[in-house]
Amino acid sequence: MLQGTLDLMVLQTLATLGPLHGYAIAARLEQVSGGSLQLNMGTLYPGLMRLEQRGFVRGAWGVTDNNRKARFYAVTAAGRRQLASERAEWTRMAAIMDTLLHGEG
Amino acid sequence: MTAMPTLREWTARLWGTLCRRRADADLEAELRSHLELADGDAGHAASAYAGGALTKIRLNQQRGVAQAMETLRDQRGLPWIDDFIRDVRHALRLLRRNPVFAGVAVVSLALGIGVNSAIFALADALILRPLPVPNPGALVTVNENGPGDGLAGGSMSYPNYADVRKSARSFDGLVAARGALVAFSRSRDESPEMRRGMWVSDNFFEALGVRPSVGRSFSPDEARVPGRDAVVVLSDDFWRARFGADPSVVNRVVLMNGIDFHVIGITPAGFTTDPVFRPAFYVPAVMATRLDQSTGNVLEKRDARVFEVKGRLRSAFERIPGTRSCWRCCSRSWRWCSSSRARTSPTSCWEGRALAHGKWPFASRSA
Repeated sequence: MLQGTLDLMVLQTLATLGPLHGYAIAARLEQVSGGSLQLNMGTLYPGLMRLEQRGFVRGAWGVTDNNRKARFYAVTAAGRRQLASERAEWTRMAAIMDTLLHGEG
Repeated sequence: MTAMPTLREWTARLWGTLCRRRADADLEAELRSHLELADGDAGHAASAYAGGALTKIRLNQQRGVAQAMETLRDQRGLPWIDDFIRDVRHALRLLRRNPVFAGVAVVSLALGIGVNSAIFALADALILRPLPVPNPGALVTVNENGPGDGLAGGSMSYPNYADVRKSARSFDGLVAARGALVAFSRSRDESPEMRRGMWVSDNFFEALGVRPSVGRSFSPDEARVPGRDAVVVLSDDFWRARFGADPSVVNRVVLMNGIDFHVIGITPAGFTTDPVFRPAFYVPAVMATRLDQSTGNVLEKRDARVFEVKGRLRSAFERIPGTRSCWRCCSRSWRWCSSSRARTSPTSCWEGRALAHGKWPFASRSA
């Protein structure tokens, strides 16, 4: 996986769906990718911790619909700003790559 | 996305290392909840597995948790600080297990540090701090250098001091001083105690720019006749300690080695010529013969090099780098030396040398 893309995916997921626990994030990403993106815990949770340390998400223990304890992550204001700028950057980069790879040349 | 860790992340990790951190149990609880949620989702599928396969999944999950915990711990704090703390804890545990070794180590460290700071305190007082007199920078120590004296040279004899004082023109005043150990008592009824004082030249206080806080200092007349004028200036500390800072002590008589001495003054507070031993009193050097017969007549012996000589460089020389004025006074002393060679023993041809106070031998040049 590209460096930093996990952060972007997590932030986007949380910004769209609201507070989620780690498993829900992983499940969502797996679903969106059609099963090709399977995050193991050793990648997902350190990533979440990093985002929390940078102040982009905030985690708190809560209870799921099925009455199970889980730690829920919510995107912060700083996280939203970060998401906006990184998304723009990603789009710009992707356009460049697209032109480079598929453009006439 | 920025892969580079931000300042904020580092702060959080440092913070997490030092005090507020998520406990291992909390991290593990999160991972377990993940597995439970996954189990719940895959409930039907899991039940379909045969026993062996299920055990295998469980085993994999255990391994996953352990691996994730490892990464999480690294991300949580600063691993090297964690390692450092762990090392310190380990060292402390070892020390506790070997109390004798720990005790010996602690005692040797304490002794080492104590001796170090004691020596530094001494060096600080003796070498680094200037004498507590006005304009101490202009004060230089004048040493006598005979053949075989080595770099530093040494103290001067009183006759040589007197000659140099007469001929040297680079100084506003040249003073001599020597430590003295004297049996001191306040009156005949009191048993004497040994006190450390100084024999000093008559110009001692004037040349150093020190004015007694009570009374007066020596007059030039009091240096004229050896053994005649039994006068003493007491140091401020001694005056406070033994006389309760009583100003009427001046003009009173005290006993030194059984001889009546008139107290004529008290040094100002804070003044001392020796920050370590803090002399209790100052008597004119010319009294040495009467006060202490044991050493012979040090005032006349040219090879009795027992006086420390200091001089205040003339103000005209102050701005010139020390070496130059030193050179001048040195060469003058040297001329004096060679001319007085006949009067000295063959092994001691004197050579004058002035050293900036406490800074030898950087600023010194010998003739």
